[in-house]
Amino acid sequence: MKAIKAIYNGIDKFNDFLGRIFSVLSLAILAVIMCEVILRRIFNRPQIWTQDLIVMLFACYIILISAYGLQKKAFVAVDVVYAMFPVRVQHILHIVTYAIFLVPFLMGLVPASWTFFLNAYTTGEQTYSVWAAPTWPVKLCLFVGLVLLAIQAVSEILKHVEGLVTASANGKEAQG
Amino acid sequence: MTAILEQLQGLVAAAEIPAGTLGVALILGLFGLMVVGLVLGQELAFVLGGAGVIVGWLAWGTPGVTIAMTKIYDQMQSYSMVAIPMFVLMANFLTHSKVADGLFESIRYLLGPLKGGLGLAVILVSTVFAATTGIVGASVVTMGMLSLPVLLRSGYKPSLACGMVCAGGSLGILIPPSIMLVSMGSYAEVSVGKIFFAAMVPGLSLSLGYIIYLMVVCHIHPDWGPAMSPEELAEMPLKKRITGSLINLIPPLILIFGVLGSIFGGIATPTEAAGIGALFSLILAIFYKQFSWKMLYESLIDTAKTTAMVFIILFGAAAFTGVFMSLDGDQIIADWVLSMGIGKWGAFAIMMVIMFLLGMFIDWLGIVMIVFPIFLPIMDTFGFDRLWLVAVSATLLQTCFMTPPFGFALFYVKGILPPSIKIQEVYRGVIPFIIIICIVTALCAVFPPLVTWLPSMLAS
Amino acid sequence: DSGIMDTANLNATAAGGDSSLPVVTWKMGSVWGAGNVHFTVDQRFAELVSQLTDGRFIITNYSEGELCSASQLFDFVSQGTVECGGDWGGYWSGKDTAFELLSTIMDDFTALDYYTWIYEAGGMDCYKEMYGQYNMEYFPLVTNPSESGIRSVSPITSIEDMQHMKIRLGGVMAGKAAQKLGINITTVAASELYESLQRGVIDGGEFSGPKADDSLKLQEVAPYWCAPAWYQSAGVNGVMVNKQAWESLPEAYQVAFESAARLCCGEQLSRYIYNDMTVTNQMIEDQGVTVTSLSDEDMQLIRETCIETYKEECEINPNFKMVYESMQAYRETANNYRDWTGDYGFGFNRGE
Ligand code: NA
Ligand code: NA
Repeated sequence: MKAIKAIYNGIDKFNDFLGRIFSVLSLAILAVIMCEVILRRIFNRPQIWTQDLIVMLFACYIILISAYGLQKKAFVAVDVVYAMFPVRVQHILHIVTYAIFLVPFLMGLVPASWTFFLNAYTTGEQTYSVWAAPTWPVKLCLFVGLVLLAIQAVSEILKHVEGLVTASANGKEAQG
Repeated sequence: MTAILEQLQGLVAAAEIPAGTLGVALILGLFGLMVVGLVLGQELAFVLGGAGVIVGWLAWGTPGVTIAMTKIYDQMQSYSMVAIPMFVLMANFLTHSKVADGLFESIRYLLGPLKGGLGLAVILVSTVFAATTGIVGASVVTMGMLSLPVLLRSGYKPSLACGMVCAGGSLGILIPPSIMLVSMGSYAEVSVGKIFFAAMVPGLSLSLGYIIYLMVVCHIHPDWGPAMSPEELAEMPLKKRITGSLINLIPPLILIFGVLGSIFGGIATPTEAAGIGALFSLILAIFYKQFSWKMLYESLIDTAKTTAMVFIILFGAAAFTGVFMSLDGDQIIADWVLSMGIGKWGAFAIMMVIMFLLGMFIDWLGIVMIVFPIFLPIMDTFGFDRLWLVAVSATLLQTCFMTPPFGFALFYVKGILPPSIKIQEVYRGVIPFIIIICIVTALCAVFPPLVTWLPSMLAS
Repeated sequence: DSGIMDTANLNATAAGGDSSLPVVTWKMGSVWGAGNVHFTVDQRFAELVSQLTDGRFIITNYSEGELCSASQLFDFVSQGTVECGGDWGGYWSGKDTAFELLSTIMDDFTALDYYTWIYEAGGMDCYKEMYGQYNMEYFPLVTNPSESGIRSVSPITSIEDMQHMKIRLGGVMAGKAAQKLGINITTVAASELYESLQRGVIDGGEFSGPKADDSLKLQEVAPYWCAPAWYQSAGVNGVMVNKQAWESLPEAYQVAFESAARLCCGEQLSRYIYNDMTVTNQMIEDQGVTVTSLSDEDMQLIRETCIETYKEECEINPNFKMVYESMQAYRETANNYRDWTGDYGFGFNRGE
């Protein structure tokens, strides 16, 4: 029990720390957008790199903060039926549905995104624009973001396992 | 898990079933998994993404997973979607800057002498605030915190008070700017700028409808929305009410002019306008002396949470629709609906009813991501204008925030209410407003110019 | 309108009466959206394949975004996620700049030059080599004639005019050449082109040939048209095929596929040219579009700049050099012929 708690606390601390750092990327996107507006509108000097850079930063941002969102319970679920079950059953349901949905989702995508990145990296793939930025950094972020999400998923499943054990113990005590 | 899937994939690959039948079976599997996952309380994003990856794998093996992943990558490459984190950031700065507070204080004293005047103030401030913020959370929470305690203290009927706060707060995501309109426009391949202006008249009509309802109902039942007492009114002299209202209107007007104006005038793309809006809001917070490094940091963290919520659903939905499309699901369902012979308006009615019913259980993004891939191709064959269709859908989607049992506005308002008021009061209170939304949606469907006139004015 | 003659001729071909051949169904992705003129070429090709195989080899077309975005199609076909995909190679310049030359060229080939180079003068080998490096076969489906030129809000009569404007220009090499010429180029998606011109986000831009430009109604918001289109004097669209999928086809279907591509190429060449002629007349005579041109000195400067841009790329990329040299070798072959045929080689106006 203690080991489980230690593991998920460790994971949570790790992803919390990273999530706070990645949150700052939204300011970076804002900065580049303002740069684009000022250069294009005020100085009439549009730059070839602004739009590519905006999209690249955005892509990295939205995937890298996913694990943080999962940890902070930012994701919505339909809990109309779910809420009617006793707590113990809720924990079981969550463990089972994580196994059915989240596990295959990540087990499919993590290796696929690694191949995707490797392919872009080894061929030196670039964006279709005059700036011709390399595409591998964004694809690497996709892989990293999915891995962080997988790590956080482990923490979430462990929390439900712990909840299940605790709820069962309490149930037994109440009966006894 | 993988072993089971591999076995199943082998079976599917070996099955000597005609392609059509197998395709239909896989599509049914896709939706079956979705329903099971949702009912069992799994997060929407993972239900969609998981169902997509599993069925994609069953259908094609590894390439099926590639389809899901490249769809996610495509989603990450969309320039117009960059507007979403920027609008969220803007809303968070704006909430911290407390722009709405002063405005509501002045306007409520200004309209206080009228029966239902306080309610009128709530809807008016909600409408102005809606034109400056693009997310529903910010506007419902802000309006709820500001006005609910005042409404209850002034003797408003609790259900009416809750209803108007839910309805007014939800306007934030219909009246542009709005991350909902950005996502819908982006999915339906309609210009985000155009869809902003198409949603303007429906949004303002709703606001007008709410005002008319409040005025009428408070006239019939004066005890539901009493006028302010003379003693309370004496707290703020008339002159201060007027000047306060005007002065506090300036910052939101600057924002509306800066954001919607720059899209309108072609100075900036919606994405750039969202950036301009975020910067303006930050400057406003500094101006209102609300800026601190802690406030900036908290805004960034809140933005990350909301943005993560939106995009994880979009990722899951991308995987789901990618596989659905590759199975020719859109064509199969389109053929099926067309063969029912229900005609153009029958199909439209079905789409609206499904969106309304789904709205009782899931949020706008889930609805858009489930309904659009299925219905847009069908609506295209009937020759509906996509701009109009998206705007009408957006109007109807206002109900999803308020229809029980699951609704963002309901939850936020319940969170603010004193424990003595039951959730049933809130449920009862939103019913008239849901009816108003349905009426306005029907009006926009019957009189398309309500939607298309403003964008067409811009074009000429 | 087009199918009648072809059907009559083709019923007796390759796989026609042979019912022992299996039914094969393929998906064909595309870099073109559903409303795009170029997408109709993909559809026509699939129709021809079906006709040539007595309806037993069925290719279903998917427009851009249905299976994947344009940028992902290359990987999809290369990895076999879909069997084939209709493309314009310029989109793959991020993989290798040589793909751009296989699909567009500045101030050089005509559509007929591409057609002749591909089928007679070693062009096809270049396609096989480049797409082969990525596990694909390749068949051109149309060699398209010159693009329109730059459509603009105010008239362009010199390079200097363009230096004061914000202009949308597709193609990576064209972008590099434009930068050398001091022109501000801006990225705008084709779907936003109309609104961007209308609202003054950009002052000018190119999309495609007159017929395709007309589908976006660009002439409504950009009444000026600076010709000719030095940044794309001709182009090529085609179909990429996954190698394993190709090898799994019965030989008769391979023959049918190749024949359909060849047929499509000839048929579409004439159709594109004739469509562009009629749309040009509508734009100039009925819709009041004004065509402007650049001085001979400016055109000369552009020519030198384009050649310089290509020479620089040849230094960096051996694949690019291989394709460019094959094209220039064809050009050498044509020199004497072009000289003596004069106007009769590629046509002239009588000035009546
Ligand atoms: Na809004
Ligand atoms: Na609801």
